[in-house]
Amino acid sequence: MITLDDLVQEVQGLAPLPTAAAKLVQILAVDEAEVGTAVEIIRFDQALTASVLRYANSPIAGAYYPTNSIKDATIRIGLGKVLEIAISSHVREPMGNALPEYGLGEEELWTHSVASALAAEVMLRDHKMAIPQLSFAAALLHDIGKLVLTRHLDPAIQGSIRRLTTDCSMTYYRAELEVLGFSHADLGAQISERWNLGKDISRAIGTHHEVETTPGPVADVVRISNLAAKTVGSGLGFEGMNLEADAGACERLGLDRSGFERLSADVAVLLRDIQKSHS
Amino acid sequence: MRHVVGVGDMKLSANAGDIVVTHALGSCIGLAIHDQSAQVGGILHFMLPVSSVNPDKAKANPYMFADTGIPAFFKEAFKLGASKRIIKIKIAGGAQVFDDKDFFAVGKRNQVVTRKIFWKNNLMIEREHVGGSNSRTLYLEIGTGRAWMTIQGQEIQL
Ligand SMILES: [Fe+2]
Ligand SMILES: [Fe+2]
Repeated sequence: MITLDDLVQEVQGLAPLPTAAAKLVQILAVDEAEVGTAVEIIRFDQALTASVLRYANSPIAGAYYPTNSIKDATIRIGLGKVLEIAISSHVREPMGNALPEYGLGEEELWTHSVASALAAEVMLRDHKMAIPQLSFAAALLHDIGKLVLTRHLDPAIQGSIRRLTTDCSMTYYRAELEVLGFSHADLGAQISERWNLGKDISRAIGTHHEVETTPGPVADVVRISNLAAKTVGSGLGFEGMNLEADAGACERLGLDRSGFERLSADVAVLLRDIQKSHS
Repeated sequence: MRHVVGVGDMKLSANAGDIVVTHALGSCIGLAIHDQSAQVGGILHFMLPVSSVNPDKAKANPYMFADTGIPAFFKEAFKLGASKRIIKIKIAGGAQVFDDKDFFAVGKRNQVVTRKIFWKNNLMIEREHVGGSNSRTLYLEIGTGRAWMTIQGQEIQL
């Protein structure tokens, strides 16, 4: 049987985050408004510069007039979005792979991750909720543990998980914990630590299926983002809707029932627009 | 031809050789309708029960919501020659997350609102496979009206 320690070894072997992303995390952890330093970091990375400008000028960012200034672009989209873009370039390819052990086809994990990040974005921009900038990156990465764990879910393990979910009506996450002793959330937190994403993001990823207790607002945003992303039909796989929802997260963030449904509708429309623009 | 219906969308067809399919029905509901004599049918995949949460979005995306999507879907089916008396209605989806406070009751509410709409319009749901927590895929064969779905790799006739 595999252990979390074995997999932590594997996580240590993952390529580190691009320099720009690692530095942006540090800035965001200290002071969210330090745009000047951020601009220097972005400028140093040509690919990131191009991506930030492209996004800032897209209709999805609500661009009213074009800009080719990195500073303007950064202010327009916010440092949290810049960080998400920087991390995206690093995880885009592996997250586009199929995860058959989770019942996820090609692009499904990626779409789910994008939908989750979009949910965080909509909360901040359209619902004017006071949510931390780090939430976007955390939402994008919340299921990254599946990427490493998937290869180790042999048919015996899958069978045990399925039995617990169908016969004992356990949630997929609880069944994973029961069978393995740890979950994709724990592994995701390990990856986040390996990438030095800081305690807010690591804890948010590590507890994204927990209810009742919360390590803080980033974690609350991630829980709701995951649910909104599921509601729009992304990343269902074998887990489906078989998860516990944390209503407390909504209450703490000041989102009511219809607010959650409005959020889901907004995410569905944005997601479709993004998919259209890419095809 | 095989038509794939996305979330918040619908597809109707009068081509006997067509198959309409919709994937990733979690809390969403897939509604399959079929008129055997007119050989018209299709699938609507809506996501949320009521459009009042977002009237602007509902105008541009009526198929996103049950209350705007179902009437619009039937209207289009009637245009293609389907008749209210003959039409057969089947639904699948409406899965629900675990939430003792019913805060995220989208799956349940989708079911309730759907029933209400059909009841008000004197229409009967012929077959359904709803609830639980698993994801479903719904299929409809236009030539025969045969509808079926898959859930956890299992095929079930509707
Ligand atoms: Fe998860
Ligand atoms: Fe997720």
